[in-house]
Amino acid sequence: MSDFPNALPRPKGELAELEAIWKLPRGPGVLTVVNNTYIGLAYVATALLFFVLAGILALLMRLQLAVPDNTLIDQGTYNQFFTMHGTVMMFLFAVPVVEAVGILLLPQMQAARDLPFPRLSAFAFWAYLIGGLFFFGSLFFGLAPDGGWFMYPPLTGTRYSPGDNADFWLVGIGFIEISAIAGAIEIIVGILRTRAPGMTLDKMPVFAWAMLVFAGMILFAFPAVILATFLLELERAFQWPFFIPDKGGDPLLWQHLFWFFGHPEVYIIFLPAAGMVSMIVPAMTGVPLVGYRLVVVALVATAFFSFGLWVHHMFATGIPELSLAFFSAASVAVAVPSGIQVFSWIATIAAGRLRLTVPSLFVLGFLAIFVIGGLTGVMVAMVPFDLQTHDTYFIVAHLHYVLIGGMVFPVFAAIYHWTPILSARPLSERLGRWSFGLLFVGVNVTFFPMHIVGLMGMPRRVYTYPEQMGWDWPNLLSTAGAFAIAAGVLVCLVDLALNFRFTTTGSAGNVWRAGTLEWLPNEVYGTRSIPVVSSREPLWDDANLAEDVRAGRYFLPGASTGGRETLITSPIHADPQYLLQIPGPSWRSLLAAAFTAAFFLLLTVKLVVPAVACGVLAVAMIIAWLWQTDPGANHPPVDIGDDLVLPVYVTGPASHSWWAMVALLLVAASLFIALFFSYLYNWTVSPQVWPAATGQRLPVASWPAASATAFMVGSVAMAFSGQMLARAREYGDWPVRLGIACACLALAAGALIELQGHWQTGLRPAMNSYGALVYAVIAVQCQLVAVAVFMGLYTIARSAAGMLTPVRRATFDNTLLFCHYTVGQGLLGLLIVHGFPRIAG
Amino acid sequence: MIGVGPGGFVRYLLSMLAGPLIWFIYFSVIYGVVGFGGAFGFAPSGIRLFAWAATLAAGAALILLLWYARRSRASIEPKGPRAVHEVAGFLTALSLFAVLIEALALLIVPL
Ligand code: HEM
Ligand SMILES: [Cu+2]
Repeated sequence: MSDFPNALPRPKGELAELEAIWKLPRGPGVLTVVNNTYIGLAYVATALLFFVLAGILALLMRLQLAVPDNTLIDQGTYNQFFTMHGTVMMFLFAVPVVEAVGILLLPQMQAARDLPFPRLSAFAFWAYLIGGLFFFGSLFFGLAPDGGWFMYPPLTGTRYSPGDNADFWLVGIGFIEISAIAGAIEIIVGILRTRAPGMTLDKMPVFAWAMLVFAGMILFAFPAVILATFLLELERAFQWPFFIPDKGGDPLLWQHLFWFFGHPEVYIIFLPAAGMVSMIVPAMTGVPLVGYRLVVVALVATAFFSFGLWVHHMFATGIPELSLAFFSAASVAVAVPSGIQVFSWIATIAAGRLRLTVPSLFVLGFLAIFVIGGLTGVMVAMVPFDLQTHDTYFIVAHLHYVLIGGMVFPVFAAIYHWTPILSARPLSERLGRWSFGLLFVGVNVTFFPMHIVGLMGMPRRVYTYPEQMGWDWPNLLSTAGAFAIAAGVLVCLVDLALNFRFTTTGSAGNVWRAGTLEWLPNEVYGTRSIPVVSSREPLWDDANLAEDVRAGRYFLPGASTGGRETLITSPIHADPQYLLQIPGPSWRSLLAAAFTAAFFLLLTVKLVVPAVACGVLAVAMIIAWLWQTDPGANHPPVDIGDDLVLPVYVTGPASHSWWAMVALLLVAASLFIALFFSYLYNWTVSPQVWPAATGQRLPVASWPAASATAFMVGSVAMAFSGQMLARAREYGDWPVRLGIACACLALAAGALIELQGHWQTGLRPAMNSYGALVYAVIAVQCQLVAVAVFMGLYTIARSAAGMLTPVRRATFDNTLLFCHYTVGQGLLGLLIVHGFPRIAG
Repeated sequence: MIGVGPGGFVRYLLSMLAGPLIWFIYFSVIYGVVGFGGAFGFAPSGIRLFAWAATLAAGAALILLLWYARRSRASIEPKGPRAVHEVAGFLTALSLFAVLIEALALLIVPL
């Protein structure tokens, strides 16, 4: 690739056209915006709003605990407060804020015009905003959940939590997790497929690596908690006893599922923050990150190892000794990759000259606080120590050091660091220093004494304590510190109010003289042209890069197809592959999110009919939204500069939508594995409710055989349909539609046969945990089949509308992939449900 | 111009993640056998023997992989793959470390 592909001057009107295509809609239409910059910024702002709201709850709690025997907040309200504080901080602040920064900055870092599915980002954002506000609103009606942020049964079962409070948590958080998964899929495809030409994986900014690892972890971790909430909700609503010991359930199953998500969650929060630090440190020292590849290794290794630690949250539950020691050792081992990163940052600081700007201060604060949190982490990884401190304030101290050090400080550093990209002027150095000082002192004054009071025996989650315990002075100190934190946050907010002036035309720009692409001149359409990348810090290595990019000397200086578009490149080497036409502003994704949120909310308060109505509307909106996707090859291949001519439409494994579908299927597979685990787990605990012990009749083998046959017929019919689609010119569209219709029927039949097979033996889900699990496997399969049938009908409709041709077949390919997966999981489910009791009893 | 297809990507991913994947299999085997072994009625000494065997197997596999990563790093094409082999090598080394640390449990816990 030559360096300057495009001749200057660029044609008149090219720039104006770009601007017109990407501009923000006017009037109420602004709500329909989908550009990653606007959505990302709104996303960050919303996350900060939840940070403040949860922080206010923390202040109220600290006020209550300031003195012994205080009566400011009663016990019930305090329970709701700590539950909401923890839940909102973890699910509505920590994860969304890093996802938001990803949506905001990744396209800029990769010089893409936008992410590949802008409406999906918009959907994720609106679902999060609406769902989150309703969830938080439950506090004002006394309906907020109160079972702690990890919601252990039996406390959260109907016996001890009869009200709707727990349901708000289960449905609300389940819903918000779905939005997080949508964002993660967007981020994965965005990172792997929309990097600037030449930006190989080895030249990718560390933040992109961190976000890739983050999103990958979400795919495998979140399904476990989604499954857990689904099971607990089934237990609460329909008495399916997954967690009730009398009926062969086990409350510890919840703990396993929750922490299988919950421990990786800590790293899901921390790794992107570490990625931010890895970007800020080189910018502030003026030298490249020392040990780039080692840092990448550390990110990947942490991701893996973090899935093998969850039991350390359950040391006190009576686990076999060998398991205890095993997980204890594993918890120590995971400190090593984090150590690698810390040393890399220190080495980078030593190699260059650190400018003590506000972002640098927050980074230094992060290092200090996070390292202390890491040290207490290694302490509680020791089983005997943990048994002493479990459920005390020592744990509260540890988790806040890790979370605040590990993610709040980096996020503040990021706010100060990246504001100049988006704002006409940077934030104030003076106010920033005040904010940092107050936060740093405040955090230590608040949380350090908690170590001490914890060792003195003060349990967590108590709304007050008697005077003679000697716990009063550390608590008073903690409360004072909390107000210093609040002041620090306030100063930062004032700074934002005074100095943040959002603009897409004349931002303050590269004030730190950083080397990565997000510092290129950015407008509403991203960069004017898309550069060829040949190093990790392109701006340092090519002094003219910014000017050349702005002048339009590189790829894609205008709108080749006359609409929004971005370059799709290959996942490893980032070779240009095709030009993706991306959709513009729309009400559809917003309305889909609103109706979906309403559906879940109304279901929680048991207003079934309005809920169903909203559900139908949500589906209608989603159809309307999807209908505009998959435009086909509606434009001849275009020249994007340097005589490089790219198609505007591809299908099959090269297409971005195929990758998104594969990511979605990974989510489904993780959920299924978690369900299989639950089945095995409850069997080991209570084999007495399994058929061998109860004498429960199993369906005769012809039932599963019939079901399996139906499933396989479904796959074959889809495959046939694919063949026919390729030959539609000879045979017409009817064989295609017929094949899909047959597949839908066969899949539905397979699921129903399996259901009927168990029903006719007299097995009922509420009988015992065995019955509940059998029907849970069936229920999960039925959900998949329902989606597959929906997709099938949709594909038939596309065909009827003339939108399915041998070339324009991305919709079909996705349906095909989904159907095959559905069949695969269906067969595995049959194998487990019918095979296991026959072998093991 | 058209780069590696998804098949190439999967191969790339697997060669990079081979070490951690071996660790993951090791972890799952130990967790499964210790956790579920009791339910199947295995003798504690049997479980322990099995865990030792798994550790040895995983350790050997990782060492083999390390050696392979070193060898191929020196040989094949210079540009992209070199980074893969380097990253893969480090990841394998870390996985080996994790396996060894986790095997400490077998030494520490009395029979
Ligand atoms: C900004 C200053 C903060 C203060 C003053 C604060 C204070 C508190 C207090 C008083 C509790 C209740 C302790 C108890 O009664 O057991 C608590 C719990 C908790 N906090 Fe914070 N917190 C802050 C920030 C954060 C942040 C940033 C996060 C996460 C990102 C977080 C996550 C949690 C969690 C997960 C719990 C446990 C809730 C439970 O026991 O269910 N906190 N915090
Ligand atoms: Cu943990």
